[in-house]
Amino acid sequence: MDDNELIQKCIQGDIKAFDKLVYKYRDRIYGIAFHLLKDREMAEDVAQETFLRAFQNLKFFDQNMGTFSNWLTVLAVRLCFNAMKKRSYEGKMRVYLDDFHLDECQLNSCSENSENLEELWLAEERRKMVREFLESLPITHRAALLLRYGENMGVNEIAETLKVPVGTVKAWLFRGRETLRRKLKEAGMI
Amino acid sequence: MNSYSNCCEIFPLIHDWLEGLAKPEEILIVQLHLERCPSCNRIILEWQVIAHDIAAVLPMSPTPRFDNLLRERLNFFIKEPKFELIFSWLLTSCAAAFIPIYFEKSPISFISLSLSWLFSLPSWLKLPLQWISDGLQIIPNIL
Repeated sequence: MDDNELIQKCIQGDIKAFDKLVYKYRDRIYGIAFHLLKDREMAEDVAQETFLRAFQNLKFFDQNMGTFSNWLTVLAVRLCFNAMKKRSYEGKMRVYLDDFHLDECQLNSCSENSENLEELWLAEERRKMVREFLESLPITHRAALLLRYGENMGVNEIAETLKVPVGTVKAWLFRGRETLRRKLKEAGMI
Repeated sequence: MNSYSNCCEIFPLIHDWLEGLAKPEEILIVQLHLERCPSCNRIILEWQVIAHDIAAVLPMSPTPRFDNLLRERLNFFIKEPKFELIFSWLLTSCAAAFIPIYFEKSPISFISLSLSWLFSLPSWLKLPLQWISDGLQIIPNIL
């Protein structure tokens, strides 16, 4: 069943259809919130708020304007920026990167591309560093990179979401990507 | 075209080209440069690796309580309006039935009495003025 069918069912009052949507997008929305806010609890709050707002406004969702995934992402990013405005997070708390484990999905995706365990291990180490370096970037660069490569949004879409000019998004993407590349190079991971 | 011989200068164009934002003439410049520049080719590959890694690190599982909390919040949101509506209707009906009984009147006579009170409302506003004028008339007599 695709998203639009599920949305129609939700609008008609089928809560289980909404549960399916939550299950499908939960990890991505939480991931965005977590990478932007760098705070596990706040990320959960924002992710929940995103789904609640989505539920309340499902009838306003227009599939001709874009996918449900993008709509949800835009909502999450705006809520993250609102949360950032309310509180200052920078340097407030360090997040629990150490207890992150490879989940089954990531293992599968790695095993497709890797020929042996060493490559798998290297890829995972590099990803750990990418996650760490990503957090050290300014929030604007981080948001642009996550939306571009995590959500596969175009530069124009990102500009619209973050309410900034296209040139600014291009600059953020360029600087963010270059900073990550330079840091990974220094760490000998690339 | 010579002005773009430097890799640093052509970087923004490569970036635009990767994002699909380059103009036809810029695409040509980038492609010509990439044909003879192994270092830029390597950088593009590295960027692609980074892009792939960012996509891979994005999804993260929230704590197990996430689903339960969301379900609670959703339930509250779903049930509250219905509950409020039922409760308010119930309260209104009880009041409508109880008030005439309390005043020992039939519902029709109670409604007519309420309406007469309602229509007499403008005259109530004049009452304080009436009291003042009455008081002013009484005070000289007392004195």
